[in-house]
Amino acid sequence: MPVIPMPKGALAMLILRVLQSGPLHGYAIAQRIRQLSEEVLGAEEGSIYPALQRILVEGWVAAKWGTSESGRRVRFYRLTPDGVAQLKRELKDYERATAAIQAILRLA
Amino acid sequence: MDTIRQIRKTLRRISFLLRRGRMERELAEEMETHRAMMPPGNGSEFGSAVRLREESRDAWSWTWVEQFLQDLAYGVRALRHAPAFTLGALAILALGVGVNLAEFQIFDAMLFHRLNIRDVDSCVEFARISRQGRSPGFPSGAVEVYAAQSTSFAWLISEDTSFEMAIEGDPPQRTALVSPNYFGSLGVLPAWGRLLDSRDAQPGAPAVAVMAYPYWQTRWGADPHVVGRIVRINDKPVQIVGVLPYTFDGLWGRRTALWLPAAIRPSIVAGGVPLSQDFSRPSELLFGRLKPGVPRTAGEAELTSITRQLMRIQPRAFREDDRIQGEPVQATLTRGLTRSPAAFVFIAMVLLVLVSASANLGNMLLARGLARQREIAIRLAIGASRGRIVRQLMTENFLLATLGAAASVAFGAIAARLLMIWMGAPPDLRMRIVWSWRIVVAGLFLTFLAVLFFGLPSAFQTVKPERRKIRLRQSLVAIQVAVSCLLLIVSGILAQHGIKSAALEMAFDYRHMIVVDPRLYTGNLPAAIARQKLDALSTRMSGLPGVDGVTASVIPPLSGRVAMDSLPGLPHIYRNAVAASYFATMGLRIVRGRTFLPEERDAVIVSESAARAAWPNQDAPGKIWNYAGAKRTVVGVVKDSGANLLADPESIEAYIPIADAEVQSSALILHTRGDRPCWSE
Repeated sequence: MPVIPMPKGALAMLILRVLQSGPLHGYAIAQRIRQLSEEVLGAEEGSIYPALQRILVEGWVAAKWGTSESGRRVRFYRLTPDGVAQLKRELKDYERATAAIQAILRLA
Repeated sequence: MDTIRQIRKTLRRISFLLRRGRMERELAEEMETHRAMMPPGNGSEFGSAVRLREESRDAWSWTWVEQFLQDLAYGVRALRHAPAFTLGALAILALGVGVNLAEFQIFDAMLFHRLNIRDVDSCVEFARISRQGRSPGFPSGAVEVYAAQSTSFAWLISEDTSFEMAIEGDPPQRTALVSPNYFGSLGVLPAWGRLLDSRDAQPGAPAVAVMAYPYWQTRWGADPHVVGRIVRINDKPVQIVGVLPYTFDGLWGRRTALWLPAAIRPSIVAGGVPLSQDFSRPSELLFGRLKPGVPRTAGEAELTSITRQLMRIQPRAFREDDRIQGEPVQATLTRGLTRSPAAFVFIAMVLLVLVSASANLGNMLLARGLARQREIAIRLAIGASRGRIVRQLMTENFLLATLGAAASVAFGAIAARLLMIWMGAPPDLRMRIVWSWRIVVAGLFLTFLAVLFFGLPSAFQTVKPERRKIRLRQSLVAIQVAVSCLLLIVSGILAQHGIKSAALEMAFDYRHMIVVDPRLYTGNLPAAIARQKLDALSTRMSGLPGVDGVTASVIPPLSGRVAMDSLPGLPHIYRNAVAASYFATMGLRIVRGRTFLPEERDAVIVSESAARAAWPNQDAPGKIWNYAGAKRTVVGVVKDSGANLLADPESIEAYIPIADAEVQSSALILHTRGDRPCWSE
């Protein structure tokens, strides 16, 4: 499958989206994203970590060490109120943009 | 809200940076666990952990600052490992930028640091303008009337540096006579004692003077006890009351020894007429400052109308269409430069030196890039982007530029001082190289500009594949060759010009001339007596063995004294007042007409070049010429003397008889046979 270049920030938006249903650790985030979209991660699952660090600095998620289902020490990421607001904003922007594009496509 | 979020984000980032060791360990652990959890062989990959960790770090660090510091450290190492290259590049920058800085400093010294007075921008110099040209001098009688009657000015001051006086029996020194409010208006403060003020102009006030700083230093050994001392000036006792500051040298900027109140002029200088009645010599320069809100044109109009009234009483003191025009003092200082295209040629040449040096630097950087090909290939191979490498190379170049700026400022400062000495600039106050931050800024600006313009293409070429490097090298070399050729041609032309003027043929036999200055002006003599003395002296001189001719003139040729007139439509006229025997003694052949007759006053003799300029294709003798304050008849045309061509190749000459007022400033010129005769009193 050819790799479609994803818009910048799409990965961050997806991470926020998958965290909406509750805290997850890195590996689980990668798995959930893979279920939603194969293309965003491409061949590199590790690319969620730089994105997570950027989101951490923005204050949209908070991290806490814990134990996974399989008993490994892992870091859980949780959406902060700022993160919730950010996700809402981004979804709205996205919908507006797609609506506009679809309107154009219909006219054409 | 946004700002609060921004602040919180910054705080988080700082806390991450402070705990960066732990953060990195945790991140590594987390990524390791992730990899361990991944089932083997399902087609997905984790990616390069090293690169991903670096990218994560970028999220919380100020990347560019860190990269810059890294690049800087790398640059320092790279430059240290190539000392020959570094020194070479620094030398090129120091030379190329340094000569420009030296030039700035010299112009700066000549133009901008000349006046050290209060409100220098609003100080205006006045001059008389007529159809015959511009003359800056006013008779002292007129200055008194202006000061008393005008209402547009916050102050009007005058300065007269035309008198030389004998101080304590020394050879005569130039002095300045100033109005009583001169120093107070300009806000000049004394270095020692006090300066002149209105009490020194009161009738019956004791005669006082202040010394100029360099004269005080050189003649009096900077002795503070000079203040209060009685000094003999033109054999009259005058008390020294103070010393001027080092930074002040008058508005006209001639080097003077002593400053005296104009009011005491009649008692010290010949021809003791009170100032208010003296309309004989227009030698006072007039400066003023307009009252707030008064436009300069209103001041000019007021002075012109006062002048019109004065003309009715003193018609000979003015030209009939004289009007008064003002010009900011600062502008009068730069007039010389803006008028001379040579200065611009010079500036352009020096800038070309910089271009040539920079092209050379660009070439060196390119060569160094070629030599570092392996290093750069390795860095590209391990994943550095081309942009990143260009950035690193430019950081290194700017490091070089900073060092180069320091070197060029140092070199420029030394070169400017050496040039001043080498040009034989007088050790004049106004021509002082002054240290200023502007030079440092200019140095930084020029080096960074040079490195940006010539280093950036080299850096881009360095990271590019082989093939186009040659073209850049060739164009850099072409720039250098072209600029060097241009510089060679221009300096060749200038040198030729210089040689021509140095080898100039003097029309007169200057090798056998001796100038004797009888210093009649120190004796305060009436004109008739002075004339008698001069005649007696010249008769005595002509009787001396070995002397075959004696004549008199106010301006002995090549003496450095100059009297110049500017008339519209004519080149500069060098004026001289001479005795009738001048032309025969000097060997200047009279081509047409004759020399002056005895007692002839309103006659003029012009040089061939002057005759050609003023009356082309006409016969000059017999023409009436309004020149040097009178309607004069041209009685003769002489060969050009060539004496002033060195300074002013376009100039022409005119000779008038020695007027009564000038007899006392005349010098005798002796023509000798063969070797110099032995002289005895």
